[in-house]
Amino acid sequence: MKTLLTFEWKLFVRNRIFLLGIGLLFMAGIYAIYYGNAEIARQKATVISVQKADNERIAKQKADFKEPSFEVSWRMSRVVSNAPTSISALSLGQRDVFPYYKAVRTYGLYSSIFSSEIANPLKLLTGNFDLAFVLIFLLPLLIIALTFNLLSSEKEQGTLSLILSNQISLKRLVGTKILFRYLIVLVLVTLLFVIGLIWSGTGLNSNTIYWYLSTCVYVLFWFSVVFWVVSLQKNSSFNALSLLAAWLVFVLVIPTLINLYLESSQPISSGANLQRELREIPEKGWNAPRKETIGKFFAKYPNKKVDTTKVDASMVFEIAAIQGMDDVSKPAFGAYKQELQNRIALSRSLSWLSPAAQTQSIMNQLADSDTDNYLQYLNNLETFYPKIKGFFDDMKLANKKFEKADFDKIPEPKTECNALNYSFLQILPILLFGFIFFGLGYLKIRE
Amino acid sequence: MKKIIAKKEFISLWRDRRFGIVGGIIVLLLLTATIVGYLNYQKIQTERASAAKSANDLWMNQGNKNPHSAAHYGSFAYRPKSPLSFLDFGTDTFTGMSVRLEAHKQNDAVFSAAQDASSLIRFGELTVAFVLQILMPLLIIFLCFNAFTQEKEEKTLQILLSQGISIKEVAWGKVLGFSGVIACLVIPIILIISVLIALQADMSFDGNWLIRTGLLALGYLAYLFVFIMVSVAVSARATSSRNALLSLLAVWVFACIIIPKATVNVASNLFPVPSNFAFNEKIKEDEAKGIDGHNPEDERAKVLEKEILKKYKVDSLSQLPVNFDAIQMQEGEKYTSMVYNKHFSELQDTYKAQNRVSEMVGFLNPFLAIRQLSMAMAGSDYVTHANFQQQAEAHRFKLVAQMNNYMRDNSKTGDWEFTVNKEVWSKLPAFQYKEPNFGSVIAQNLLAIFALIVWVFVGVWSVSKIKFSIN
Repeated sequence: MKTLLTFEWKLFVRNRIFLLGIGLLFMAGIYAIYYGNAEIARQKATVISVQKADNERIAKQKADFKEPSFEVSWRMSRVVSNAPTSISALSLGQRDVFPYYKAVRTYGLYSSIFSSEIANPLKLLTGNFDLAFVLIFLLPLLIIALTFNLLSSEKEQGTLSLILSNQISLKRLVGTKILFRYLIVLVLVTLLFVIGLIWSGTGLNSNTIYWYLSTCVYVLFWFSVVFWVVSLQKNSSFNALSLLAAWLVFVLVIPTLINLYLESSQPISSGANLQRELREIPEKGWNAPRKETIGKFFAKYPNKKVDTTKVDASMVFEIAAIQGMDDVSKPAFGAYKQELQNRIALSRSLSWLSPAAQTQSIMNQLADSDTDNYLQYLNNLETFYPKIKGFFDDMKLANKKFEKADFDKIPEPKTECNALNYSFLQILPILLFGFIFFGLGYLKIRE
Repeated sequence: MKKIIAKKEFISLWRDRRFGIVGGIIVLLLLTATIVGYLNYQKIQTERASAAKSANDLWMNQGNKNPHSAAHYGSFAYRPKSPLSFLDFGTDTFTGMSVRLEAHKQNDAVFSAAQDASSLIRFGELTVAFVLQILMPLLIIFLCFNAFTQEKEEKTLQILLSQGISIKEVAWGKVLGFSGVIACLVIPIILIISVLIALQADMSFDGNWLIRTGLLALGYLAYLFVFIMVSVAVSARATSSRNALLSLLAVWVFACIIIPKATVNVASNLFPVPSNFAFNEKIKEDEAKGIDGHNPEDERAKVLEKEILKKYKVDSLSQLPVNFDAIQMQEGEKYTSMVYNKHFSELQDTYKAQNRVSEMVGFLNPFLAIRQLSMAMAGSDYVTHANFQQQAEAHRFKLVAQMNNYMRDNSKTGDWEFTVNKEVWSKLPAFQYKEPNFGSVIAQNLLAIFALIVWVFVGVWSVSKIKFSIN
């Protein structure tokens, strides 16, 4: 075993193609880390500049403040952002598709909740060259290049019988050769991972460790596919073509087929309909009879009930009307979010069919860069909005004008989303695929 | 003799069981992509048409109100899918389909398919374009990598050449044989697609879709032909089948996977775009320099007031035969719209400059050339989307202007109680998206077409330079 490994090492160091392949992948990885960090740095810088502008605007409002009034709320907004976490730099996922900051006003959220971030659609279509891409798409190709002829080349050179005559079983020979290559790839992956961590300034925590583990399991999966193909003991061309076909099926065909299925089974979202619905709500709300609106408001929120002879009635109507619109908009928007959630759940429940899709899904969830993160951000918007609106409403209902000192009491918005819960079980399908191929290979090679 | 070789390659491939399996799978994928793509296209088209209809119904039945309130109420523009977009989704997956049209404000196109999906969508979608651009070249490599190396390894090439046939004839015979096989797979699909397109003839057929389909088919045939020629040429130069296969696979990975991404990334660094925030800040800054449509205390409003009074030869707003508020609002709208259009067209130019880089690299990588040509012919490229955004903004401006102008001509200054009814709403035609002029589409894609032609020549050259050396 030891001699085998030393020989493998000597051969490896002398093999130009091996070194070239590993070198290329390493460089691709470094570029990907650089690229991912540059993209995330840009998003972080944008969030910072948006927050800075927001704070400056409020400071200016405060400096220019003349006399206490009720009107401040109409010019007040605060930015709720969804700053990327550092680990996002390793897998950008859907980060570039969704908006990640929004000024929340005090008078209505839903009619303006839909927006999009500036991005070249061709760039979005082509996708990001991030570390996740290198690991999911390119690394299997390197594995294939390193392994496709590990047995067949010995056979074709006529050295196989020579080795086997040294009381080494075929099983052991193949096992050692594969193990050797697995270790090399693991070293490469670990190196890239550590560089990625240091570069992005992410610490070692449960998320990053799990991210790393899922990569290792994905690599393991590919090695078990290799093991199976090698165990068939065919010639080099056959191995190369079958492995490539496996890559094609798992990395390109199954994921795109799933997408095609999702698109046809799940009708496109009702977003456009909701958008029209949300426009009608204020239209009706502002035109409703005042008394009725106020009456409904007091009935629904008894703790906000005030004597309308003491507080300006039109102000109470505004509060009641906006609250009434929100109360209708929220469930409509909730239904839309639920639909989105269902679509994601469905795509998750299918992505196990391809270990590549499953690994990507795990990586993006851990890196806070999948669509769930955006949904979480929408929830943050919906949580913050009643806070800032309520702050002004309560003052108005207490007939208390906004004073200069009140600037410091305006609720502070969130700048980041909470980490999401993910299930460690998601790694199991990849392992299962690995075991199946390993088992097939083991049965074959024993013969 | 060339014909005999072509025929031999053709027949032996048809008899090859492995080719049968792989070719069969690819044809199956092509068929699936065509049919499911077409059904989805029809579904989306119906949905968008009904969304557009209900937006228009809402506009018509908004009840009696002040024209400017109606402009605030506004409407929606929905982007219909192009008739050929079921072949190539292109950037459509990542562009919004709905724009809210309202006074004073330009809204983003929202609800892209990518926003409605998990990150799985980033693996791409199974379309005819995907199969032809990415999978088909692999099939070709699989067919051709040992075209020469096998003959060399089995020493049959010498025998062949001893019959008095030149190496060039052998090479071209092989190219023709493989092309015949690929054509047998692709042409039936092209025919099915043509029938599907002809089926929707009643809807939006104005001849240019026929040319678009033709160009698409020609483009793809040229692209695949280039791959065949290059593969055969590589096989002729390779020392072994294994080396031929590895080199061709490396070419494929670089051409179809790595270079497109790297190119787009480099382009976005060369021509950076602002964040949405920075973009809007710039617009706000410029808008502040213009007239405020809703603030009578605005200085420019005072100047405008004087001008209008002078024009109508009266000395106070109350004597004006028209509504000054409406004039002021329309002036404000004109100004903000001009500012927005200026910034938006700058942004578009930046995108176009970025995309131009990919088109230039098309001369180094035929994948980028065919991708661009395919999206453009299918009407799913960025330029078509930008065209929709411009039309939506133009319609928004028309809507607001029509409301403001009606108010100007039919009411007096300060009369906010002035209301109108359906008759006025019905004067605004529903938003109707017009496909961009075909000539301009061709003009924008000359580079891609040219790149493909150059590649065909490179392919022909590489095959005709094949030499034979006995090693």
